Amino acid sequence: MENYQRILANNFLNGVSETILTMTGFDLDLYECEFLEKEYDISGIIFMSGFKNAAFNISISQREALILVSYMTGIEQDKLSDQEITDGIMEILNVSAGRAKSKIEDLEKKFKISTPMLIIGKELLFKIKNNIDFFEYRLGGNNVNIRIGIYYI
Amino acid sequence: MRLLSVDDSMVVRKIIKAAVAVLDFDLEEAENSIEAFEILDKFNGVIDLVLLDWNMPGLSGYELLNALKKDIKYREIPVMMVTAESSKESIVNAIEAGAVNYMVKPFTMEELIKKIMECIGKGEA
Amino acid sequence: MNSTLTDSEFKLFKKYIEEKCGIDIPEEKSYLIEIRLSKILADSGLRSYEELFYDIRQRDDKFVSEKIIDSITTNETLWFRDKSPWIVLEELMLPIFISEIRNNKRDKVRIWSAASSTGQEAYSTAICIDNYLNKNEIKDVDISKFEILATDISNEVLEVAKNGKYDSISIIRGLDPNYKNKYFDKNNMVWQIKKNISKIVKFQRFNLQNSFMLLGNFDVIFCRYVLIYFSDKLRKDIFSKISFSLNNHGTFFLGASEIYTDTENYFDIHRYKNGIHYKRKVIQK
Repeated sequence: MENYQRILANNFLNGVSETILTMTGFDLDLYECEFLEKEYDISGIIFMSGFKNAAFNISISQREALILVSYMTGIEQDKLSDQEITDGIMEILNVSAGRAKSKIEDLEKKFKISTPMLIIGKELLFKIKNNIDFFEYRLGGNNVNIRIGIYYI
Repeated sequence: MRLLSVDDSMVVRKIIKAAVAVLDFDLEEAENSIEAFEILDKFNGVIDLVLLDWNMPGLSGYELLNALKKDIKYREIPVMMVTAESSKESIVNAIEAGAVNYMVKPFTMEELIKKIMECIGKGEA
Repeated sequence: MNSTLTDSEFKLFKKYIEEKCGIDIPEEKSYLIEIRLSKILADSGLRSYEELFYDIRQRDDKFVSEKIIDSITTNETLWFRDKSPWIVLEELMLPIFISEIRNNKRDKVRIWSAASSTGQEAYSTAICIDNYLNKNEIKDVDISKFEILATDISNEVLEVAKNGKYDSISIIRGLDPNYKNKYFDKNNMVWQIKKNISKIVKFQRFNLQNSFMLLGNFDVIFCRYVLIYFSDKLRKDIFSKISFSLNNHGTFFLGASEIYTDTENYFDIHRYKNGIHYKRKVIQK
């Protein structure tokens, strides 16, 4: 049980860094996360159900999302629409979770993932319940920081 | 050549459009299966390749693939899956259902362009 | 048709491919094999993967083996990837090449981009040379004194490379904005490399498993981010062939993250400004 939680978390983490590297060219480093209570402008979440139930989260500032999506699409930052920015972050989340799911399925565990959802605002705080199992990390470098969380329900 | 991208993500369609432009092809875009059928009807099935996402609202890409392969008007149009769905089972299912190629997301522009060319038989020895 | 590829069948193919093609299939790329095999099976008219395995093995089909290498080794090629090879070229090698050309000690400089993919490495090299000649106001040595051969196993990527057209996403990966405007023409969404750069680059299909003899000798060889997929045996064979293809004082570049323990058997290792380059080993008599 414990083991699967770790494998799933790693698959998602690898999924996010692989997706960002491939889609934007940004090779980011992974850090253990130390700032759960920092504010972000965009928080995305996707749920996974099956052998284990989990929620995957990525959070990012608006400015950094702009940089990522600009590299992802080849569209200059000042020409990107809000919809393109949110769509780009949603796609990173969706592809990362899809990769995590497929890798776990090759180990013969069946999972379903929900559609990704984004919460957009200004300096939003991300809170979780006490006493749940979770893994939190930060992917950073090249002026981009992304918070990644995996929460077991 | 005219290609059709069926993907609910606008950003993915833009990326595909950029690749297709390099090859001097036209790209039609559909957000879901309903729009995909509208475009297929509009061009009377004269589409050289469909690039198909798996997880979409409404009919999934896999369901759309099966529907196309049963449709006498559209069954000959080559379809490549373009999806984060990469388990062995999914790949085998899609190829069995008649997909000519399979592109796993995330992909680089090189991989995308190369696979499009493989599908339409350009550059093959 | 029984087309469920079992784990044991997959392992059988994986082992065969590793032996036959000299390719070590990394876990994250194994799906590419599955795609290839599913397609080959569908086209073959055979009934099962087991039949396909024996069929491929019996026919010892080179086409299949090349297709497999092709599918595994497609890599992203950024403009000026790792930066350091072009710093070495500009600061250490070009001054010598140019002085040798001026003094009639050499006629041409030959450079090989050995896994060129869509051409960014070869064109980056041509841009680097042109920029150096301009910057230093060198008028008596023409860029046509430099010959760049770019090869790849994939016909598809070579076709793209030859056209020299790049999308707006690839064009920003590693390319200085000044170079973008100086060396490319923009046409709608597409960036086309200028003729004065593309004219010194020749593209040719080539499988690194084959003999290098017919390609001639080179002053500089780039063979980056492709040997990572090859078995120890094939990699050693390629190192040996590269060292024979290099002229005296010739230079060889690997990718920045590629560290192999056996390079020193074939090359002298040089370090310059955070980068490593390799020179043909001088045999002491």
